[in-house]
Amino acid sequence: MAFDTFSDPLLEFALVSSVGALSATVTLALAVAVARLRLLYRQRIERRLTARWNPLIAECAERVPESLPILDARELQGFLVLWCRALETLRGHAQDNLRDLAKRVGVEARLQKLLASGSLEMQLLAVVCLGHLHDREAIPLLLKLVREAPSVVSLNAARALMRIDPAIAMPHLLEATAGRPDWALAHVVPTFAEVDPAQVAPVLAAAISTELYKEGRGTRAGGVARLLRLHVAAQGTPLRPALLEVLDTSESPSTLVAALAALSHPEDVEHARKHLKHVHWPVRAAAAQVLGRLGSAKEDFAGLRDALGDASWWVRYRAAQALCALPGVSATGLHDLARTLPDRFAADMLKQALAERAAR
Amino acid sequence: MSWNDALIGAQWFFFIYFVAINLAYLAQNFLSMLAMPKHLESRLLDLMPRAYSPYETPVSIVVPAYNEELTIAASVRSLLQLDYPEFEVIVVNDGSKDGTLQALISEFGLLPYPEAYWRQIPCAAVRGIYRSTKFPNLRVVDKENGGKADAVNCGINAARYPLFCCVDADGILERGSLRRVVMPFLQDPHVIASGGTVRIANGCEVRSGFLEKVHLPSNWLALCQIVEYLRAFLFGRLGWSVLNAVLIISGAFGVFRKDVVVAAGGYRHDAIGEDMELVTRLHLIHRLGGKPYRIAFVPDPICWTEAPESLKVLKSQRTRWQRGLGQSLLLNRALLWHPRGGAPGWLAFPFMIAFEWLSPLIEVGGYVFMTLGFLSGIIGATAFWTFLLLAFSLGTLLSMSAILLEEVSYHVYRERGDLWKLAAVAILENFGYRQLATLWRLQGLWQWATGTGGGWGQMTRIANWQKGS
Repeated sequence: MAFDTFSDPLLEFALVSSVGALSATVTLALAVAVARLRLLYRQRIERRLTARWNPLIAECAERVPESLPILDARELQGFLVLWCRALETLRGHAQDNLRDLAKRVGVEARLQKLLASGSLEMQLLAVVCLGHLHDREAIPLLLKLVREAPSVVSLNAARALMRIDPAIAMPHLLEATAGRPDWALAHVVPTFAEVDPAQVAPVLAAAISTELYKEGRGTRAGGVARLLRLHVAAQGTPLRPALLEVLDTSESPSTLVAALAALSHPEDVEHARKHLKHVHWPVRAAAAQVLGRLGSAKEDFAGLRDALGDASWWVRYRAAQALCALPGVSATGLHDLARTLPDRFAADMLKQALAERAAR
Repeated sequence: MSWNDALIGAQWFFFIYFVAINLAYLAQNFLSMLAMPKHLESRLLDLMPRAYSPYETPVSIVVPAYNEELTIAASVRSLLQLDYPEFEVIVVNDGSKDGTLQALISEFGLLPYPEAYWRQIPCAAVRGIYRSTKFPNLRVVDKENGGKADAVNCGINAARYPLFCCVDADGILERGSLRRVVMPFLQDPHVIASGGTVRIANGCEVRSGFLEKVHLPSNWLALCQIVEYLRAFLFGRLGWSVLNAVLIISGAFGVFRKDVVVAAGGYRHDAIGEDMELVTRLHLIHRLGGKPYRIAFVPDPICWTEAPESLKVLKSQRTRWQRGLGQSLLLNRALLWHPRGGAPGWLAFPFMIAFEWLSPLIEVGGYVFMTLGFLSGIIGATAFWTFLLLAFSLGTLLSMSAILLEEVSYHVYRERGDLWKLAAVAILENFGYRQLATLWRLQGLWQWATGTGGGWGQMTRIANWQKGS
């Protein structure tokens, strides 16, 4: 029997494998124990750190004391997290005081070490801190990170730049937004939170025009739509010509949808009317939505009533909502319309929109 | 070929299979170890205040409910408290025979609502749609009974948002669950589905539908399942996600792009494991169609579920899972070794066939062969005990590595003695539990092959935490 004795190489292999696996298991068990001890140690440090620095950070929001404790190297990460959290919840003079506190405990020099540490987590923390410190010397490094770093670090580098100098940061940030689909717009928009929307509009308009040119030449796609969706962070007339240029020249449905969603001037409603019969349903739905916001009963009732019979559920839905939102159109009139519409789908949709309006 | 040759051949077959299956799991383990740091690196940002923007993708949460009268109100209340900027909850009452609909009507002030229901995916007839007067983002669809897949399809039809999240009515979530599982969609426009780690809730403290405190259960079967789930999720699915080859997103909590699922025809009504079948089909459609896509996996614990604490219920669950696995693989067999199949077709699918679907047959065959051989004197004592030692040592190694991965990442089990308990389970589960689970899976395989053992079986829920909430 080949499997019977230790002289059998297969059996020997099995035995060696077993002993190897058992040794590895014991090693892993020790690693688990070490990991737990490290966790307990970190938690102890964190508790001590919170007890030591939290009251001081709170005091610094009012006034920075003359004498400050020494920031231990082991406390650096925990301190920076506490400090960032405080900075993000405070405003004005209190923020200046906290920056002063960080500088006096020697944070600036240590951030360079964190950036060079090779740990992405530490790099991320350092980037966030550089932004809060308003450290202008960090601008070249942050610009490099915006261009080259993985999305989470580059986005936070962009946010840090915006905190330091929005005028320098915005063109770079918009260029990256247009070209990096890994930058979630949901995360880009908050980076504009601390910038005056009137300051954003001209830069955004210029970026849209540049991107439109690039798309026209076929060098990049999708950037205009992404930039247009940043309109929520901008305010003022400079954006309007760029929007109209897009609506006049673009043929991309996603770009047109984004441009229609950004329309806010009553005089531009004609563009929405023009797109209510567009070949792509998302554009028709977006146009119907604009008419609900900017249209009038006199000019748009008929078009929207016709759109209730659209083949797309979404166009019917948006048209019904728009009809309910049109100024001067009564609920009674719409109920009458729902009763008389020959198209059952159109009538059902209007009833749904009326019920939604009644529930609000 | 002589008897002796056949015996030696059989020994080699079982031995090579045994080495291959364990090497495959260790490779998955290695991939997970590589992937985990990437998931953990941005966790620091969770400690900072978070700003929401209008472009967080809104999500429709679809909750299929069948005879959930006692728990449905608490489940929906907890869903309505999720930390996410824009979402709607659509409860689908799948023809419940108890007072599920009435419980929802009275708890949430539901009123009939004239919705223009859009039947994009076929499903059983809708009796009525209700809207909450207390929560504008809550709707209830009352429909004829058609099973879980049918109910989810009905919910997808009613969903208004581009992403939908399928949630089990009895799942326990964390407030940030939805935000975490939606994150991959924000970071990569090619993501079509995303799932997260499901953990065992037995023994935990739950308040108002949310997990308050983690405790290990005292029940032995539930403890074994904790280690089993750690292995399955932390290095099973995380490992496959590195290769974009995750074939299962748990039906307990998964987010999908609605247009993609609608285009694929929704969940199959006749599928036993409808969650795995859909994900495998999505791979098939996208791979063979040459469409870029990614199915993401978030290792964070996002959903907690009650595990069976009795042998009868656990057996019913495991046989059902095995039948579902066989059915999902058979229905999507075109993916196997297809020239455009990529990692799902060339690695994950064959892995599932060899090491998940057929493994009970070969493992039980191996145990029987060795035992009979030993008892009849054909296999010597040394060989027999060495075989058992190898099985035990590799099994323990895999479980211990899952515990390590958990400890260095989320360290969820923090109470004094928890780690010792888990380590003890990693050793002791090799003496009975694993063999029992393999036998049940073999039974499931048999039921699948013979077309018997239909139905969902009875999951008797104890839900001790509900008493305090």
